[in-house]
Parts: sequence; C-alpha cells; structure tokens
Amino acid sequence: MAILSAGQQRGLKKVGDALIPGDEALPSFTASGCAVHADRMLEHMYEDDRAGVKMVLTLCAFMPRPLIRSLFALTDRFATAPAPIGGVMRLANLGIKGVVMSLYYADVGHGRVYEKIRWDPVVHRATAPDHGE
Amino acid sequence: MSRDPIYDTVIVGAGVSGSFIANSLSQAGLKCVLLEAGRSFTSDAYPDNDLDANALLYWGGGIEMNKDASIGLLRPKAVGGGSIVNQALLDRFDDDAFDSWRAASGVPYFTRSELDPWYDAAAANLSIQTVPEEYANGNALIFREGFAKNGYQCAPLERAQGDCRFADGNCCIECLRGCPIDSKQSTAVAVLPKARAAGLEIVSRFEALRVEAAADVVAVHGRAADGSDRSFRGRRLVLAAGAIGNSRLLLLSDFAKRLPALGHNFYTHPQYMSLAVYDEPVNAHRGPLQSYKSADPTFRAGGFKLENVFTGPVGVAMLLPAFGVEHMRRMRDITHMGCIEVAVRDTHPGRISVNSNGKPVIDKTLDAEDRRRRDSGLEAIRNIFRATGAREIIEGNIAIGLHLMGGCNMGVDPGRSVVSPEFQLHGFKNIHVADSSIFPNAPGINPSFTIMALSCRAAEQILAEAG
Repeated sequence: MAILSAGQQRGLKKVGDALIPGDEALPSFTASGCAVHADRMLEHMYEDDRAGVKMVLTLCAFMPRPLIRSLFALTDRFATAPAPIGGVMRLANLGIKGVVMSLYYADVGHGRVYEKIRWDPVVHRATAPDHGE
Repeated sequence: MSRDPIYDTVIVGAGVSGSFIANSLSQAGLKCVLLEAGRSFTSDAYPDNDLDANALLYWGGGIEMNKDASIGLLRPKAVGGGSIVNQALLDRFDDDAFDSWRAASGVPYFTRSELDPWYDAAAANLSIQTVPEEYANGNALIFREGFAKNGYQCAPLERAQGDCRFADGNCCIECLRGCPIDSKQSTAVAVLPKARAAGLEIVSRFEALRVEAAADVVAVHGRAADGSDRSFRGRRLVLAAGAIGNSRLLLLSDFAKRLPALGHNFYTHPQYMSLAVYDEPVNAHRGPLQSYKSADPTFRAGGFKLENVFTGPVGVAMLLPAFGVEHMRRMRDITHMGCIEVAVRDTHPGRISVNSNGKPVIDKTLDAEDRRRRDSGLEAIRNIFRATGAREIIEGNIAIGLHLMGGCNMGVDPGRSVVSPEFQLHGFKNIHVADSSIFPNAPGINPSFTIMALSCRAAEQILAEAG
C-alpha cells in the first residue's frame, strides 16, 4: 500500500514545483518524474517524522501555489532564528526541502538532471583494458 | 524452557567497534553473534543513488535532527556501520586529545604510548595508504593552494584503501554510498570475512530494543526483519551501537537508575560546510574525494580543523540558500564549486534521551566557546577561498554531526561516568562497551582509528576475563 495518498502526492508536486519550478535547462519537479519515488524515502523515516511530512503535504494539496511559496519563504527567512521559533521554522524548512531536493537531485526520475548539471562521477567495477603502447 | 543457544558473546552493532571485537573473539574460539539493525550489502548491491543510500544506510531515513533542528546527525545503519559510508581516514590521537581524556576520566592508560600498540594491532587488519597527490582534484588543489597562500599548514591524508584505480578515472565520492570495488577498507571488507570464517554468526535487520542482565547471562530482545520478536542470550554482551544507539538501548532498558551519567556527555564535532564558486571548473567530484587535511597547530589550539570535502547534488542543494529559479541557477554551477568544512572540537556536551515512542531525542547546542571555534574556522575558510579567486562564497548554516561520541563515557567515577576503565558498564561485569560512546569528550580528531584501537584492547580484556 502506498505511503502517500493521491492528495498528498498532489501536495508534494505543488510544493516541489514551488521549490523547483524548472528553467531553460532543468525540468520542474513534476516534469522530472521524481515524485512517484517518495515512498522509497518515507518508508525509512521515523513514524513521527513521516506523520509530520504527510500532514504538511496534505495541507499543501489545498493551498494555492503563491501561498506555498510565501510560507516556505517564511521558514527560509527565519531558519537562522533562535529556538523555539527558529527551531520550528528550521524543522519545517528542512523537512520540506529535504524531501523535495532528495527526490529531485538524486536523479531517480526521468529528468536527466545529472546530465544537465554535468554531474558525472564514475567507478569502473572492472579494471580498464590496457590498450598497450 | 528456552532452547535458544547461549552464545559466549552477543554483540549489538556491526560497525567499526562491533566488527573488530567480533573478529578478535571469534578468532579466539568464542561463539559469538553480531546483531545489526541495518542491512548487509555486498559490493555489487550498494545503493546506486543518493535517495536509496540515505534511506537504506542511515537511521531516520537519512538524517536525524537535534531538538532545535540546528544540527543534522548522520548515523550509519548497515553491517560495517560508519566504515561503509565514511572516507576511511585514519588518524591517531595526539597528546592533547589523550591529556584531555585522562583529565576528564581519570583513566591512566589514555596516553599515546599505551595506545600505540593497539593502533598497530588495528592497522594490521587494513591496507593504509597516503592518498596519491598526483590524482588530487580541483577541490584539493584549492585547499592546498589556499593553505599555502595564507601560511596555513596542511598535509596529505592517510586512508584505509586497497586499489582505488584512480588512473581509470574512478571517483571516490561514489563510495559514500559504499565502495562498489571493495577498495575502501570497511570492516565489511577488511575484518568481517575473517570473523565469519572463524564462526561468527551475523544477524542483520535485527533492532535491539531491550537488554536484561543477570549475573550469569545477558539477554537482548528486539525485532527481526519480518517484524517478529526475537531474543538472543549470551554469557556476556558487547554494546557497539554507537553513542546514540547504546544510550537509547540502555535507556529503554531502564539502566539510567543505576547509571546516572547515561546519555550525558554527548559530542558531535559539528561540521559546517562552505561552498565557493569559481569561474573555471573545479570538478570536486572527480578522483579522490579528499587529499589533504589541515595540520596547522594554530587551528588545533583554536579548537577546530578544516576538511577538504565535497558532497553530492542532494547535499549541495540542501546547503544552498533560497529556492526557485535562483536555487536552480546555483545548482548548475555545481561543477564550478569548491568546498571546505570546519569541524569544531565541541566543548559543550549534549544529552541523549528517548521519547515515549522510543525515538532518540538529542539535546545538543553550541555554546559561546563552540561558536567562537566555528567562526574562527569559517574565517580561515573565507581566507582560503578569497586567496584562490572564488567569485562567491556560500556558507551553510546547518551543522552536520558525523562523529557521534559519548553518552556512555568512560571514567573511574560511577557517579559521573557509565563505563569503567575495564570497558565494563559500572556494576555490570558482563556488559562491555568500547565504541565512540565511551569517549569522555571530543578529541577534535577523526575518531575511527581510535575506536578500532580501543576495541582491540577491549577484546583482549574480554578474552582475559573469559579465561
């Protein structure tokens, strides 16, 4: 059974597109196709943390995009404030940003994000053939 | 009556300490079982992307936050533990670290001369090499050049590695998800195969949740991979689940009543990464991930060190400020970025507790002295980046805690410590601890090699007691 409901998936795409709207080179969060892989990370979170993420995504599904952007900007702005206000803001900011950025920049969708940012580390499992002199 | 076997030793946690102790005891003929909450991977099965790696190789799905969300804690969860995901850097502690430990704990053998034979014993299990400078990448060259221009001292790194085949173009940043060619000398590569051959039983995906101790037997109760309850019994128990894991297990098992210092004295070497953007490509992801370390005595005296590091796109995305198109524009500069982090030798201890759901709660902040140390390091990083032509410097404001230490600190006073100099829980002669949870304070040096050395010493102690 899927961890995120259809509504929470919709919320994830809305908040994802607010953070990663796409530009001339990179696809938007939704266009990258990464959202469907959310359960792969949510499955391993602590229950408390997963419940928090699901609640935020449920709310985002009903919010207009400008409001989502404004609320996230608020958490971003107060992320360096002292606790307890700063702590709540940081937790919200990191929770949302963590889910969205992990999905998109792990390049698990079909957006070919790594190719577009020229991220190309490799480890060759076998020794490269010796082509001689 | 239970028909379950009684092991000579049950070991909880298959990280660096658990692996070394399990190997020593198994080689000596003791019947041991090594319990690990994470999975067991072979080199061809490590996650090939950061989403799955974070989810499968760390507790909490990738990261655990402290109470005020100012420090992200990375706690490995796999057979091999931290040695699977770290950079296998090996440093012996200096006199300053041991003097500080002796003063805090009253333990007389915390000296370099006492521990050197144990470092040697640990090293005998590993292939240790200096990272070859001819393959240093752009990020390492920025580090070296910036140090030279500012009159700071740096030195090549020593690393536990076999054959990374840098000439083939291999990039060690990939090995932060587990080394796919078994060059990195994780304990899963260098130690556990020998232990298995000597009869060690390894049970992965078993989460220990409670310990019961009697004079002649210790039981570990927990949850197996299929969700069923399972127990293991042994004549003695070795706790090797790390600072948070050991503290959590003992707190859940009501040991705090007899061990008042349990969960206290927690340190993390908080690390702050700074990025710098250059006009020319840096390609920090190519070749060896790290080539140099700071070796400047003024940094050591100032309570910090600088590290020549980088992280993958997910990590960089989390470090960059803002969001939207501006964030995306910056991400497209990732191959033009250099990165240095300051690791603080933190002086202000934190505390580990558990909530009603059994989840660890970490109360850990930086005090004024720790912030001063951080700021001194950040200033040195800015000097390095400016001296090497960076066009923009971006400082991350969230600390990362990779070196999780304390919670079961060693000392001679049972009122102020948890573990005796004989590596036994105070008052429990058949429960032993030798991992980073016993550290009396933060040494300011990569802890891995010292965990190995202490574990070798502890194993000898256990064998002596076992007769």
